[in-house]
Amino acid sequence: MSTSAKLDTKLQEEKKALFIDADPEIRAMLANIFDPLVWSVRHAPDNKTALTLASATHFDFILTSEKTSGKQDVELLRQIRSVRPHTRLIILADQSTPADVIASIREHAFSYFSKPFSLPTLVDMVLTAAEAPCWDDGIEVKSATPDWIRILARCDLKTAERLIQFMREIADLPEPERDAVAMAFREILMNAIEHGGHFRADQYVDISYVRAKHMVMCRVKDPGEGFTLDEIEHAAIANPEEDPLRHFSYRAAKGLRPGGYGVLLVQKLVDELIYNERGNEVLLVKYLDVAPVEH
Amino acid sequence: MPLDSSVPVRTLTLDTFPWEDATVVRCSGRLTVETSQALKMKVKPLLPDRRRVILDLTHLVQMDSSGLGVLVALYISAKGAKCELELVNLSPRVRELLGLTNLLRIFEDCARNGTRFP
Repeated sequence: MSTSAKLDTKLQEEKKALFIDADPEIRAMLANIFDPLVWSVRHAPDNKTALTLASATHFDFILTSEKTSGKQDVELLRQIRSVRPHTRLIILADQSTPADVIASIREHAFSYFSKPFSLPTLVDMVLTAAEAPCWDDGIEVKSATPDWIRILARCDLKTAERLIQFMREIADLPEPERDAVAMAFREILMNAIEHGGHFRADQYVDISYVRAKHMVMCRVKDPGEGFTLDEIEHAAIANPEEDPLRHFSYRAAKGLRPGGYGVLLVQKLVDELIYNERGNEVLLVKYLDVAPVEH
Repeated sequence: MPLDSSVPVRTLTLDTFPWEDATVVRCSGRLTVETSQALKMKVKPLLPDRRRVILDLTHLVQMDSSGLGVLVALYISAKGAKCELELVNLSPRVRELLGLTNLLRIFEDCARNGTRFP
C-alpha cells in the first residue's frame, strides 16, 4: 500500500473525541482508552468553548467536565444535538437531581455519572460509547416525573447497562437500598432481555419506576411469552435450602448455561417480588425506613 | 447463551500463576453475564490436570447471578475431576451474595485456606 493510500485509510478511520476540562485522573484513564492511531483528541476548557468546537466539527465522543452541574451539561448536550444530532456524549456532574438525569435521557445522553462515581464503571461506559458501531439510542422516555418514570429499552446488553446507570442516578435512595434495588433491577432486566426479548434489537422492555415516601417500586414487562414460577425447576428458587445445587442437574439436562440464581437473589434483595399471571411482567418493591415524623 | 460478540470481555482480567502446589487464577474486574463465560473457559480446562486450583477474588469489583452460576459450575466440575477448588479473599459483597443464595457453606468449605493466602 502506498503512503498516500495509508494516509487516506487513516483519515477515513480517524475518530474524534472532545474532553471538557478533564482532571488528571480522568485524563490518565482516557489516555489508556483512546488509541492515538485511531482517535484525534481535543480538549476544551469549558462548555462554551466545547459548544463552539462541536458546532464546527463532528465529534464521535464527548465527555463533559465533572466540575459542571448536570443541568449545565444537559443544556450543552441540547445545544450540540440541535446542530449535531448524532453526538454521543457522557455527562459527568458535580451536582445532580433526578430531574437532570431524566432531562439527559430525553436529550439522548449516552450516560450520566454524578460524584462520587466509580471509575471502573465509568471506564466500562466510555469503552462502550467509544466502540459502539453506530449511534442508535434504544432508550425512550414515555413519561417522566422524578417520582414516576416510564421507559422503553431495547433488548440488548449495552442498552441495559446504560439504563442501569441512568436508574442508579435517578434513584434518590440511601446507599444500602440503592445498591440492593440496583442489583435486583439489573437481574430482572437481564432476565427480561434474555428470556423475554432473546437479545433481539427489535424487541423492547417496558419499565416503570415509582418513588414513594416509604417505598420504591420497579415494574418490568418483557415481550416474551412468560413462565410460571411453579415450573422453573431449572432455577435456584425451586431448590430446598439444604440443597442449593439441585437445579444444576435440570439445567445440565436441558443444555442451559450455568446459572439460575437470579430470581432467588432478587427475592432476597427486595421486599416484594410479584409476577403477573403470564409471568412476563414483574414488580419489585423495596420498603424504606423512614425517620418518625415529629408532631 | 447468545451473547453479543461485540461486548468487551476485558472488564474481567484473569492472571494465572503457580503457587505452592496449586494454580492460582487471580480475577480482577467484573464477574457478570458479559464476562463469566471467560472465567469458565479459562478454569475448566485446568481442573483435570491439577490437584488444587485457587480463585483469588481480591480485585473483583462486581458479581451477578451469572457469576455465581459459573462459580458453582466450576465447583461441580472440580469435584468430578477430583480437584480441590478454593475461593480466597472474598469481599464482603461477594460473601453477602453467596449467603443470600445459600451457597456460602459450600464455598466456606473450599475457601477455608483463604486467610492464609498472600
